[in-house]
Amino acid sequence: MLTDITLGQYFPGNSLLHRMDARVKIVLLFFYILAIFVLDNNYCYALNTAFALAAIKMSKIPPVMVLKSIKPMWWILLFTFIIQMFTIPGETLCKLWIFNLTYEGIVRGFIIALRLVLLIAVSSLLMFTTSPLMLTDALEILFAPLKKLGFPAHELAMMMTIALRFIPTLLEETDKIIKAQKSRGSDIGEGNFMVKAKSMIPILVPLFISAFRRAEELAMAMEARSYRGGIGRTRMKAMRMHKLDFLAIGIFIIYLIILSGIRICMPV
Amino acid sequence: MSIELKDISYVYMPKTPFEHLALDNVTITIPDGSITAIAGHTGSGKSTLIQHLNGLLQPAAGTVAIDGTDIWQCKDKSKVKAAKRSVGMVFQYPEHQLFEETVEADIAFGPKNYGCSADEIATRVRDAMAFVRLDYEKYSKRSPFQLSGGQMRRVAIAGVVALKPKYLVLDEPTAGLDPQGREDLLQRIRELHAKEKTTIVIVSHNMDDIARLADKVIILNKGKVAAEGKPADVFKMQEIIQQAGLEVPQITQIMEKLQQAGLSVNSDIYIMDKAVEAIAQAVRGRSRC
Ligand SMILES: Nc1ncnc2c1ncn2[C@@H]1O[C@H](COP(=O)(O)OP(=O)(O)OP(=O)(O)O)[C@@H](O)[C@H]1O
Ligand SMILES: [Mg+2]
Repeated sequence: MLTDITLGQYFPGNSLLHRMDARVKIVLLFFYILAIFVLDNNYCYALNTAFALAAIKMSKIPPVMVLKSIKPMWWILLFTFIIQMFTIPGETLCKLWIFNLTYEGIVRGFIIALRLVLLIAVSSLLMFTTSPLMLTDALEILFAPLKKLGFPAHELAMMMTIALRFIPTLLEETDKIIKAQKSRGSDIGEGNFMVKAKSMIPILVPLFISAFRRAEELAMAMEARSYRGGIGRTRMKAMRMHKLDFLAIGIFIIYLIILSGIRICMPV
Repeated sequence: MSIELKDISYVYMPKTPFEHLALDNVTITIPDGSITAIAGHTGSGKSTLIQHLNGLLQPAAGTVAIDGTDIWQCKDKSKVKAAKRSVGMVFQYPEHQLFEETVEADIAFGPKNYGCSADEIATRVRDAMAFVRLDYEKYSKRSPFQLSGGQMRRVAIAGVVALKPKYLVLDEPTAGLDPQGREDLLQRIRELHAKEKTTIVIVSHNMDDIARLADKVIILNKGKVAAEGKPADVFKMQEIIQQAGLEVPQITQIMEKLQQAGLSVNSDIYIMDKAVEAIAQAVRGRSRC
């Protein structure tokens, strides 16, 4: 069913990762991704993988959920792997038409795929352990310095909050409309392209109408509560860093130093 | 002939931590020619259950047979399609599914999909509009989005009635309507049942509506069938009804109170006329002695 997706879904819980400050999580994630791509060393990859596994374990999120978030990327992963396998020059293992399958290519392809998997897995961990509200609040605070340059940090954060909030609602709505039109004998997703495209109209029109209706209601409700953008707006729950966050930052810095050390001393 | 659900279970979001068993081993029969009411608290699985009646949801376990055709096992595709099409479905807030430019075109959408001829479609649209009491001359060329909520609901219901289903399933059709509109709609449903011999399945929270309409009641509680049977028999099971988060019809409640106060009336009465009669009789009997 359409509503069975897990992508970008908050997963309430009380693990260490859940309790960390969202801002800290975002910044650490940023440096972790940097480490994945900058420190190109087999030992570093191994350590980074171990780090990701440890983080998943610590978050108490079922590993199946993390795997599910990788699933949509499966084809891209396979594609990059195959391209690498055949295009990197090196010791030829076998020949397919004009392509050479090389040992180096397989290793390279594997490493690139691994980096992508780590990137997605740890990013999705951030989504799983942070409520959308916290996430967008944190982004707003992190981007606040750019406000002086005219960057609409608050507006973007608010837009993201609303979008995240309404994705499940709209999916549910779509599911319901599809079922209603199916019950009226419409064969959705069958036939050739033109027929298929035409059968989308009975779904898209009600969906857009309901989206606009919701948007209007939301705008009215926000206005009724005197919302007028980010200027002078304060928070009900100010974000505060705790001991746990400083501990996490400390551990992560040590981890980065060790990684860099390995990269410098063992250039494999 | 009837719709038979046997040992149906349905799980939302299987194999995720959000897994939710919405239906648990449900066995029900919708007898031909009946008006069956399905009642239950919010989240008890009513909407999930009725979506099994025309194959919109596939049960994780159990069988669904429409007039003897097992819609998930039968190999004959056209037979399954015909079976599914004999069940018309009016969803909760059906006005949200309108999309055409005119009322007429929207009601014609279903019959067109079913492959009816142009003449046939035209008569069906007229009949369906007459059925929901929408004046053809006045409304057929209007945009459905310029109508009031109640009128939009009528258009949506007409769109399903125009399919001339043998079984008509309605999910809370009276939700959000004013008392007049509610009464009106129930009257239309009764008429459809009487004139066209359409079998009706109606989902409702409102036990008073059910009391006046249904000849069979199914009470759902947390995905399980808590009670099934004739209204008089089901309304007697006060405890089960209350456990399911519902209330017995007001008339039954009044009769109960009268009985407790010492008036010799039966408490299994749930229709206004019968109640009046019973009370009158009891009062007369009392004044005599
Ligand atoms: N798309 C879905 N994904 C996950 N769970 C769902 C979904 N739809 C319904 N549920 C759950 O299944 C249960 C039964 O839902 P259902 O819609 O059948 O209830 P209902 O009896 O129709 O309630 P209501 O009277 O509010 O319409 C609820 O607990 C609900 O949370
Ligand atoms: Mg429902």
